[in-house]
This record gives sequence, structure tokens and C-alpha cells, in this order.
Amino acid sequence: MDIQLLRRDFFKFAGGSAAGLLLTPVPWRLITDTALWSQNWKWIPRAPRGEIHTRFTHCALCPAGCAVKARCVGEQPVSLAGVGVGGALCPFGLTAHHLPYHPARLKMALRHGDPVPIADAVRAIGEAVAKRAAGEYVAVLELRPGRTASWMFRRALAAVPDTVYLVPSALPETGVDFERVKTIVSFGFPVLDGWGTPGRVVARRDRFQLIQVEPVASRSAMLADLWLPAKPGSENALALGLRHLVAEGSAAEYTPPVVSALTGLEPAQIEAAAKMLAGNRGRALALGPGKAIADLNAAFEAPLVPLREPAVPKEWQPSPAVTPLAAAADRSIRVLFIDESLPGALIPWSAIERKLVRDNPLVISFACSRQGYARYAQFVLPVPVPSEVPHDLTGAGDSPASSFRIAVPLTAPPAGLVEPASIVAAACGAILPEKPLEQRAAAIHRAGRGSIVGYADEKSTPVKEIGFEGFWKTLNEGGRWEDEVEAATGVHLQRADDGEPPPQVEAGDLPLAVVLSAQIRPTATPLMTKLYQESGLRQAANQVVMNPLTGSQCGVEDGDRALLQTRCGKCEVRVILDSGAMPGVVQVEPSPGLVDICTGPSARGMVVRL
Amino acid sequence: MTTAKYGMTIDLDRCTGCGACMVACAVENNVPPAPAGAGDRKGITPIRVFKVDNGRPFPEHRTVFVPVLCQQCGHETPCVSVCPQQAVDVDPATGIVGQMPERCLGCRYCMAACPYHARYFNWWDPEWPPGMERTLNPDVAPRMRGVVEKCNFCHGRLHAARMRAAAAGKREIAAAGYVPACVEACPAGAIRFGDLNDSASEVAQASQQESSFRLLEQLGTQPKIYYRSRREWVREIAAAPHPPAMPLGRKTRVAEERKEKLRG
Repeated sequence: MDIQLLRRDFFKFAGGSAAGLLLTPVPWRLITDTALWSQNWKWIPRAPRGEIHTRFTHCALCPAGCAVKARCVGEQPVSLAGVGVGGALCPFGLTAHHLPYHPARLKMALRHGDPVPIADAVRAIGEAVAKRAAGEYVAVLELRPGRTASWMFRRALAAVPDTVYLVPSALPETGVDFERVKTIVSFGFPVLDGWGTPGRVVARRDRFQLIQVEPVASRSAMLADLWLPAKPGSENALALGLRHLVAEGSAAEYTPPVVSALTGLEPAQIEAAAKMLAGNRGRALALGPGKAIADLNAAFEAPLVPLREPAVPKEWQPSPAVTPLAAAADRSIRVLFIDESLPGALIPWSAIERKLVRDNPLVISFACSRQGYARYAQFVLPVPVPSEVPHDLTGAGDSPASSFRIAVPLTAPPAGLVEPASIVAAACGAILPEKPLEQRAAAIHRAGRGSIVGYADEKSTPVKEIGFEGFWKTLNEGGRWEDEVEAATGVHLQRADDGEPPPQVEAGDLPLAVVLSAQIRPTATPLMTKLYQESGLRQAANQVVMNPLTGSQCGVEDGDRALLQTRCGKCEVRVILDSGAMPGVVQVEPSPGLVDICTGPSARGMVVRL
Repeated sequence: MTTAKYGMTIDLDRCTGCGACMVACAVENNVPPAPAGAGDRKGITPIRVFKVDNGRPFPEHRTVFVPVLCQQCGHETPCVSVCPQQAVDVDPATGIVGQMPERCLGCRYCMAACPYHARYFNWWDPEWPPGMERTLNPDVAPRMRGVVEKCNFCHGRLHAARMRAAAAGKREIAAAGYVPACVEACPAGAIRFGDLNDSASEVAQASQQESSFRLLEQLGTQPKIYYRSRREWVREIAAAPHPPAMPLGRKTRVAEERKEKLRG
């Protein structure tokens, strides 16, 4: 039988095959493969591959120094997490491993904004130190004092005459036995938004009552048990009024009606706050600057304990004293080094500039970026980010005792960066001790006080029962040394210069009260900047928040560009109108530009629409 | 294997709005920073914290921070119903609404269907600042542009927990062995996670408390995310009431006037 294949048969076969193919897995497989292929273009970044292991360290982005568990692929950290009970990290700590790759990172030395070899910069600085006239000072201003690096600066300055080691304000001499605290009255402190060790504070939230005294509706105010929106500048009066109610016979003239007139609060609100405090004598704590608040703590018998600085090698001791910036003589500093290698206090540039000689002072900034005081410095020298070099950390504000922890580096720094203390030493002709952290740890070990706690197992061992090798090893594996807790004194040891009282309103002053948030923020990862920008969770650096009524009085509307003017200067801002803001108040987030014009006596201002 | 129903409780009285959950989620799931020109809805925030207020003027003004993520609808899941590619499914073993970017063709029907606005579209190729790609999580592949993303309760962590359980010769994963990144990161302990089918679990018990509520419960989607607050006005926002009359800004007024003109 002849089989004749016609062209029609061929088409029938092809058509049938095509139709049948649709009933097989082939097309679906093709779609899947195509989809997978389209998800794996060569320019799409690939996650690192390698052995996964865990390392323990501490976060150096703020003084709290939270314990960190780093998940690493090989040597590269890929995620960070908190350790232990209440050991959660803040958003900045969670992304600290991104900072080495920040696009704004500074990787070369600059002179007046132009690249300069580091050797040339050091030579020029050394000449300026050597050629200064008698009575002109060389100074180091450290934004995060109290570290071993601080001692290195002081040792370097000791090599030449007329030097001064400056800190933003006097170092704290008291700690808080936070476990005993039942009631906190906070005068503007961000108790639930970064104060102390953030994870520990919020984890203990159920066990203390919070009275937040603040004119703006901050996060702490919104989550407080009692929010007292006192008028800006009336905080001292409220503290005296509370003292009058808590400790009978003191501050007799500050009765609730008087305090009510000064603060704008209802007398019942003041009495309610006093009632919350009076029942917790010995367990209540007032947070804030100034003598009135220190006296309030004394009236409460607040659980404050003296803090002792961790031991220091004896040979480091003859060093310049720690001097608060405000105590330095005006127009006395010829060469000023500003250490911004770790985020710290924000000081208005006007307060620093006042200390410099009038004619051609030399300012050198050690910084990771050009955002801070680097804007005013002649030389900007690049330093490693906090996760690239070891730093030591002492206790946070909510700690009852000193501690010594090492922020063990997670990644290696790139080439071309400087170590700040060694630059100061080179300029002053000093020789610094080698391995200062290890020497400091040895001194602490020799002192024999306190105990060492390993984070991996939370095992506490008295220092006297461990050799130095084990002590040093534990510190480098994320462990912490904790001093013995001193007995609570019940007396607030805060010094009179521990903070300036809020400014009082004067007749004929500028119409608006400018309130600067107390929160200090480290550099944020690019990831977080965008997340916050999208969600509007954080006020952007150039934004001010005002009540709609105040806005209409100033002639500005929501989203307008405007000028914020104070007696110290003016800054361009964007206006956000929020009915939760106190009328007559401008709420400002701390940022380098705004801090320069918004603190101290300049805390009155006006907003002018552009 | 027993069937689990994973869910969350979020205590709004504890949430400080710090954003640690958003950041931890982005780190865990390799979410890139959105380009500078990206608008409000064009970045990817699988969990996003909204600041909501009671609409009252100072000093009665109060705010609350509400983390909103995929609500993991348990009944007639809208995104599953509309997806033409079957790129969204509900895992019967866990109750987790999963998203498969490989199948997604980017039609965005699911985004339109989601009543919680918890889905995000990848408008751009994933891109990190130079060097930062070294910090990516090896358990999660970056997604290409053109696909929709959402919270999947950190599927990479679930997979890792299953692997660990299997390595230990167990079929069930330990409750503590699987925790999404946002839960782990929350410093306030406001977000809790667990099996809602396990009546002894903390989330199952918390979800039954009087202060507990779900978003848009009237839609009948039976979300597995339970919010908690002792404040009545906070519980009321779950039903998305009409916002109170607020003074309009200039831009809003202009927009309103244009709308009026268009209406004739």
C-alpha cells in the first residue's frame, strides 16, 4: 500500500503537533525558564556566598554601645541584630554595616575642599602648631569624650605647652540605677526615642511611669502616661512647682496656680504629676538640665549612683585636664582639632568659633563625611567609619555603673584613612603608647574591680578570677566589663554647669519659640534615608513643624519654603503644618545648619515665607 | 504535618515609630534604596509605619504609629483571586500568602485588589551604592523590576527553619526557630509572631483579647495581623472612618478647585 504524503498532511501534522504541545508541560516550562532568566540579568547584584557564622561586637554609633550579633558570610557582615534581653538595636544600629559603602563617605584628605596628600596636611598642621604665638592654644574638641582615644588626645597634647582638651559639656559623674526607677519626669529628654540604652528602656516600659514635659508632641510625649506641654522656657518653674508639692516647705512661692500661669498647664495636671512622683520617693527620677531639676532629684531621693571612670594606666595620667567648651577662654585657640569620628553632641558653630583667635585660625576636622564641622574646617582628614576600627565604650545614661566594652571592627578600613590621635601626636611631636586599648584593659584587669560578662553565654566572672589573657579575649569576643555598683547616694551629684537653663522670654523678643529636638542622630544608611523619606516618620533635616494657626500668622502654608531667622542667623527650611504643634512654637530637628542658629539665647525666632 | 496559621499581633501602645521594623525588613529581604526621584508609593516598604492622629487640635492632639504590612488575608484573599499568573498563593501548611516574583508579569491587578495597600511594584532594577551589594542577605534573591512585592513573613527564614528542623530529624519547626526580621528587630517588643492555631501561643491568646482588632474587618478578609490598643480612638481607625474636616493647604485647595471645575 502506497503512502502518499501530501503537503496537506504535513500541515495537519504540524498543526496537530503545535496543538498537542500546548497540552504538554513544555510551554509552561518555557515560561518558567524565561521568567527565571528574566530575573537574573547579569547586572543584577548577587548576594555573597560563603560560610555563614556569627560574630559578637558592640555598636559604636552612640554612647549606649548596644551589644551586636553580626551574621557574616565569610568576613562580610550581612545583618546585625541585638543580643540578650532588651538588647534590640535601633534602626541606625541595625544598618551600621552599610556605612562603609555610604556614597557620601569621605575617602581623601581635603584642604579648603580640594584633595591634598595627607603628608602635606600633617606638615602644614605641624607648622601651624610650632609657629603659634605665646598664649595661643592648641586644642582638641572631642564630640564623644570618655574613651581611650580621649586619653590618647590628651597624651598627644601633653607634649607641647598651651594646650587644652575640650569636651561639649562636663562628663557625667552619676549613673542611674534604672532597675529601681518607677516614675520618670523628663524635661524634654527623648526617653522612649534614644535615651540611655534604647532597647533596655523600651523593654522596661511596662515597669515605669513616664511624665513627659515638652511643648512638642514628640514620640516620648505621645507614649507617656502624662504629657505636660509646658510653654518653652517654663521648665524650671514647673520643676520648682513639682518640688513644692513633693517636698513640703521648699520653693514655697511656686504654688500650682503660680506655676500654671507660668507654664500654661492646668493646676490639676501639675498636681497629678506631683501625685505620681510623691508615691515613689527613692524610685522617681527627673531628667533634664539645670539646678532646679537637680534639686528636684534631691527631693525625690532619686536612685542616682556615683560613676567611677574605668582604670587608666598610671603613665597616662599627667595629661591636660578635661575642659568643657564653655569654660575655655574666648579667642584663645590657634589650632583646633575636632574629632567627629564617632557621632556625638551637636554644638552650634558659633559657640566653637567664639573660642578661636580672630586672625586666621586653623581648624582640622577628623570626619567620615563633609556634613558636620568639616564645612568650617580648613583641613578635613578622612577617618574610618565606626565599624572599621576598634573603639571602647563606657556606660550609657541608664547604667548604674561604668563599663568597658570594645566595638570590635567588622570590616577592614580602606587605604588612605587616618587615625585622629596619631595625627594630633604627629603635629605636636608626641609619641603615643602602643596598643592603648590593650593597655587600658590591662589596667582595668589590674584594678581587680567588677566582673567580665561574655555575650555569647552571658556568663559573669569576677575579674579577680580570670587571667588577663582570658579577660582580653572575652572583651574581643563581644564581652563587657562591668564595674561594681556603688551604693545609691540619694543626692544628685549633677554639677551646676551640667546644663544651661532654658532661655526665658524677654519683652520685644522674636515672636516664636524655637524648640530643638534633643535627639542626636548618627549617619543613616542610604537605605534608611529613603525609607524615612517615604514614610515621613522622621522630620527631615530642613523641616520645621508649626501649628496651622501659627503658620497663618506667619503667612506660610503646608509645604512652603521659608526662612527661619533667629538672632544667630537664618536658614532655609520647609514648613510642615501640624495641628498637634503648640501655637507659637517652631519645632526643629537637629541638623548641622539648624543647630548653628537654634540653641542657647537664640531660641526665639521668626519664620518668613520665601 | 499539622497545619499552622502564622499570624502577628502588633501592640500599638508600645510602638514608638522608630522604624526598626522597616529597616530590618529591607535588610533581610534585600530591598534596595529607591532612586532619589521615587515618589511616595514607588519605593518598596513591605512593612510601613504610618503616623496616624486623632484629628484633634493641640493639646488634645494624639498620634499613634501603625505598622502596616501584608495582612495575610485568610478568607477570599483578594490578591490571590485576581492574579492571572497564579503568582500569589496561600500555603495551606502555614497560611502564609506567598508571592512568586518569577511568575509575576507585573499587571498590578493584585495591587489594585489589595484593600490594605500593602503591595509594591518594582519600578526600577535593584541597585545599591557601589560595594553595598556585599551586604546582601544570601538567603534572598534580589527581584527584578516589573514585579510586585509584599511581605511574606520572611520566607527565607521559614525555609531556613525547615532546613534546620530537617537536619535535626524533625518534621515540625520550633516556635522560636522561625521569627520574621521585623519581630526580631522591634526594640519595644510591640510585634509578636506565632501560630494562631496553637491556642497556647502568645499571639493566639493576645488576638482574642478585647483590645485586639483587625484592619477593615468589615470586608471579611479575615486578616491574620491583629492590632492591639487600649485607646478607643485607635481601635476606631481600623474601620477607616471618614477623616474629620481638616483645614486644607494651598496645594490641596487648588486641586479641589480643579476637581470642582471638571465636575462643571
